[in-house]
Formats: sequence, structure tokens, C-alpha cells
Amino acid sequence: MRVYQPAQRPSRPQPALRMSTGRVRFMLAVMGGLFAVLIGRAIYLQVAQQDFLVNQGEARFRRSMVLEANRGLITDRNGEPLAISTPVQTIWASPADMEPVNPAKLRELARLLDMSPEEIDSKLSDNKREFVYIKRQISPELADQVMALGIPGIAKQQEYRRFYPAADIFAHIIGFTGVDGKGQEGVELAREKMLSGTNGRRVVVKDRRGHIIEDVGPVEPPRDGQTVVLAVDQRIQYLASRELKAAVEANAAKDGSVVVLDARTGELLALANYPTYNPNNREGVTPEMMRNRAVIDTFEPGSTMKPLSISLPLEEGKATVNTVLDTHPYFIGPARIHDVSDSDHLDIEGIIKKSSNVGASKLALMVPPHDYWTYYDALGFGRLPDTGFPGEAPGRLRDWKSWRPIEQATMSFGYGLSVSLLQMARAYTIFTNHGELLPVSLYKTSSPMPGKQVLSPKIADQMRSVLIANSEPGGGAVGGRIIGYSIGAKSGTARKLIGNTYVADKHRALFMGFAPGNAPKVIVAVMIDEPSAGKYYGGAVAAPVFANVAGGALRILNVQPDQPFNNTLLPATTPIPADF
Amino acid sequence: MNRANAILLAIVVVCSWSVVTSQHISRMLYSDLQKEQKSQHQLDVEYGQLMLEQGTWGAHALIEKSAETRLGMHMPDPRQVQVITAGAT
Repeated sequence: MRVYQPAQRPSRPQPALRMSTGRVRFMLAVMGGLFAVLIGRAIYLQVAQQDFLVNQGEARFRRSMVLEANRGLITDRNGEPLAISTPVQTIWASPADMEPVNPAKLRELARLLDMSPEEIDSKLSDNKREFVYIKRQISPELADQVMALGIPGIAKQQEYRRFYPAADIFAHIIGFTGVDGKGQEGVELAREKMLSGTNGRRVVVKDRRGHIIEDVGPVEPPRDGQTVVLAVDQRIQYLASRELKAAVEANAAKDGSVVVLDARTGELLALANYPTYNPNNREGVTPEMMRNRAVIDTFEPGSTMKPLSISLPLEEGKATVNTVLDTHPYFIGPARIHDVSDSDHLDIEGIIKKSSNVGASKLALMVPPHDYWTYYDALGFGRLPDTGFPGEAPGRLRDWKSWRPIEQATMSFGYGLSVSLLQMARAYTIFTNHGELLPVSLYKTSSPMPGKQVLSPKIADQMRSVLIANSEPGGGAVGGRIIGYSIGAKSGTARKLIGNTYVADKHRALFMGFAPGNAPKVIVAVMIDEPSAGKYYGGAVAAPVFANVAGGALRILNVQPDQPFNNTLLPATTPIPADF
Repeated sequence: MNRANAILLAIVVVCSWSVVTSQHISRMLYSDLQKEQKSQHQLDVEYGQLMLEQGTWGAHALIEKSAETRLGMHMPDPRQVQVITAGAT
């Protein structure tokens, strides 16, 4: 204890501090042990825990960014753009990393984004969230102005938005994309894989305000979607939708559709439905407006079926174009078959011109049901048309084993089976291609796709001549005549089935044909549903649409007129014949 | 022996110099490439926007409307149309 009381002995020299070697060793061992623990911990963290710690560190500053691929373009057959994706900016914020915003700047931000300051404030109020959208899809110029405010924690991000320059004209063909940028309807949905492309990836180091400091690893560039070229011609499409709209409105009809096919290749040149909608702004759009009626809706084709049904007895040699039939009304069981205006005798041309149910049904009953079923099936009735349109309808063709004679008879004039307008237009390709049924192509084809021979060329050409005769004075399709061109066509007026009865005051006006008559270039099929402004015959309501669309399409396609003007009867001066 | 070493040394110096130089050049070129890719993307975007603008201004409905209202044009009546066929005498 003396050693620790030096003050009491100031005169004595201080002895050297001596400790026993035991204590020195003990202290060294303790300190060495502590060092060993520290080193051990360091080694443990560096070696055993390294991966975990590196990951944790990276998670705090490394961000993987998705580089969005640009969705492919959709164009018409001449390269006119119909759907384009273009970048827009989205303003987002990270409230977790933000200090309170200067109120003046907040007001300025709100003014630029056309929002209330309270709205923005409430979005920023949750301090735990690391990502909130402030405003999505604004123009790049506006986004630059917002970024110029320099509010820390607010950042912009590029997104793509789909624009449709043709607006409502192409709505049903092209469809639209959803909020996530994926196709929801039409070609956007059908060709999703081709259009969407592959997103790229980029791993970066970011500071807490969202600024990129450096790239980590290689950048995977995005692969943009491919361009889809449709078979549609924008000019013909515009014409078709304009004429359809005018006709539906003028006749106070419920709705309507027009289909235009290339008569030689089966390409879809135009497809319009009314009502329609604007895919750029789908607010207030009803399912009614979105319905692609020409493809999805099926109906009984009425008299437009006759040229098709009559061809089979001719093909099988049961009758020839010169066969004359007794066309007085007659009975099949209890049902009386009659015409709008009864005739005594008619040949094939007469049956088409007068649209005789009696003649068509008598011819139909010459052929066994199985043959008819095979023929209708070959024409694509009751089958999916395989155009690739989402939701396309197969229509209805009942099994031939259940057909009774009356059903076989009514089918010959278009009742008891249902088809879509697209199927009907396609079936008419047998008259424009020497008996060959062409597949309908929604996309531009480089070479014509192989068709299927349904009728012999001789019979098909004879029927084509009958249809041309039907559009000449005395025929049922004079209303569809075009200045300068010959046409071949058949009109139809189908009563609508409501519940289980055909009602007398609800009709579907139909008109199908091709032009020019002898070297067909286009097939145009028109359907106007429930015209209620007085006229309801296909030859009066749907025929003018045919004339305007087919005439305009031939001019657009630079087809040389095949009929001198002076020989052409003007549609307006011709009385419309009754047609059922 | 000394001569051989000297030659090898010279070769090593030249090689290392060229490694450094080519590394530098490659960095410069890469940065140029990035810049060009960025400007390509910018131009693509601008092209898309211009196509969109053209499509909007060139919409048939718009042209038809201007032709009717501003220029007073209309479709000729069928009676006013004379069709002249090629090869007609």
C-alpha cells in the first residue's frame, strides 16, 4: 500500500514500478484475447457473412431498372400508321426519402400538373412509402418543366402510351391496349406477341434522391416490337365507315356493318361497324359500341344465301341454268312456300332476279341433305373463319341428320342457319375466283394463299353471270349499280327472329356483291340492322352503301371502268323492286 | 543475352503502350456509340411523334371537312362525271 502513497514520503526517490511477471502475463493474455475476438469477428463478417452483407449493402443503393421496349407499329397496307407508341412521362415521388416540400414550390407543382396542392400533399404524406405516382402519362415538355422546379425526391420516369391517329375509323379492327400496355381487343390482342417486344434491363447505383450514379454490369438493351402490316386500306376503310354511318343514321337503324374483301386474294380491305368508339379516349364507351359486329354477331342471311344454295343443284347436274321451274306457291307439310310477287315459271336467272323462295327451295330439295351439309361446311358456315380476330363467331349450321325437308328448303333462302357478315363475304369469293373459296387474311400477304375448290369453274362463272344480270334493269340489285363499272350482286331482306317468331316489322337489310362484274376486284358485303325510317328492303337501304363503297374502292384502287358511262343506268332513277 | 533482353524490353514497352492506347480508344468509341444510340432513340421517338402528327392532320375526315368548308369542294354528281377509257376511239 505504501507504493500508492508517495505524498507522504516526498524525499524518497520513486522506485521503479514493479509488477510480478504473473500479472504482466495475465494482462497480455486478456488483451490478446480481446484482439483475437475482434479479429475473429472481422474474419467472420468478411468470410462467412460476406454474401449476406454485400447483398444488404447493394439493396440499399443498387436498383435494377427495366428498359421498356417500344410496342410495334400497326400500319395499313400502304404503310400509313394506325397505332403508334410514343413516350410520355410519369412523375413519381419517394415520400420516405423526402423532407417537407416548400409550400410555394408545392403550389407551383400543383399548378403545372393541374392538381390541387392538397391532393399532392396527401400523396406525399405517407412517410414509409418509397414510391407513389403523382401524375401518369404527361407530355415530355410538361415533365421537363416539373423537373426544372428541382424538388428533391420527385423524379420522372418514361412510359409508353398508345395513340390511334385514325381514332374511331379503325377501332374494331385494331382494338386497344390496357393500362399495362398489353393488347385487349382486336389486332392489339391477336398479335400481342409480335407487337410487345422484350424489355431490357439495366442495373445502376442510385443515390437516395433517385439520381443514377453509375452502371453496374452490362446494359441489356430492350428489343422493340415488330411492325404489323394489315391488309386494310385506310382510304377504303374511311370510305366504308363514313358511308355506313350515313346509312345507319339516315335509315334510323340500330346498327350496321360493312366488309370489303379483295376479290382475288381474300385480303380484308375494310371492315366497319356502327356504332363505334374512339380508342384514344374510352371514357363512356359501352360494350355495344365495342362490339365488332361483322365478326362476332351472326344472323340469318335471308335472300343473299340464294346464289350460294342454288349453285349446288347446278354443280351436281340436277338442274342447269336453262332449267325452268314451276314457281307457283306450294306446300311442304303444313308450311306454304310463296314469293313476294308470285310468278308462273322462272329459270335460274329469273329465280335470282325475282328472289324466288319457291324456285330456290325446289332446287334445294333436289339434293340430298348430306351433300348440302358438306357444301355449306366447305363454304365455311358453322366453322370459325380463322382470321385471327378475337371472339370470331362460327355461326350455326345444324347436323344434316336432323334436317327435315322444310328446313332444307328454308335454308336455301337463308333461314334456319346463321352466319357472320365476314363469313358471308368470304363465301362470295367462290363467284369471283372460279369456284375457289379464299381464306380471309387480316394481314397483308405477299403471295395469295391457296384456296379451296368448292364449285367447278364452269358453274361458278355461270352464277357470276347470273349475279351480273341481277344488277341489270329488271333484276333485284339495280340499287347497287356504280357509274362506269358493272357489278354482280344479290340483295336480301331478312325478317328478324324475336323469341320464337319472325316479326313483320323488324328487318335486316343486306346487300352482297362484287365489282367490276367480269373481272371482280372487290367484294362488298353490307348489313343494316332494323332500318326504321320507312324503307327496309336490302335493295333500297343497303344497296346505296354498296354502290358508294364499291365505286369509291375501285376508283381508289385505280381499276379501269369497264362500262361506258352512257350505258350505265343511274341508280337514283331506278325503281326499287320488292325483294324478300 | 543482354541484347535479347533489351529487345524484349522494347517489345514489352511498345506492347504495353499500345494496350493503354487501344484501351483508351475503345473507351472513347464506346462512349461515342452510347451517344449515338441515345440520339438514335431520340430520333426514333421524334419520328414516331411526327408520324402521329401527320396521321392526325392527314385524317381523311379532317381533309374532307376542310375541302368542303374552306375550299368549297364537293363530290361531283354522277351526271357530271365522264368516264374516259384507255384505248377508246
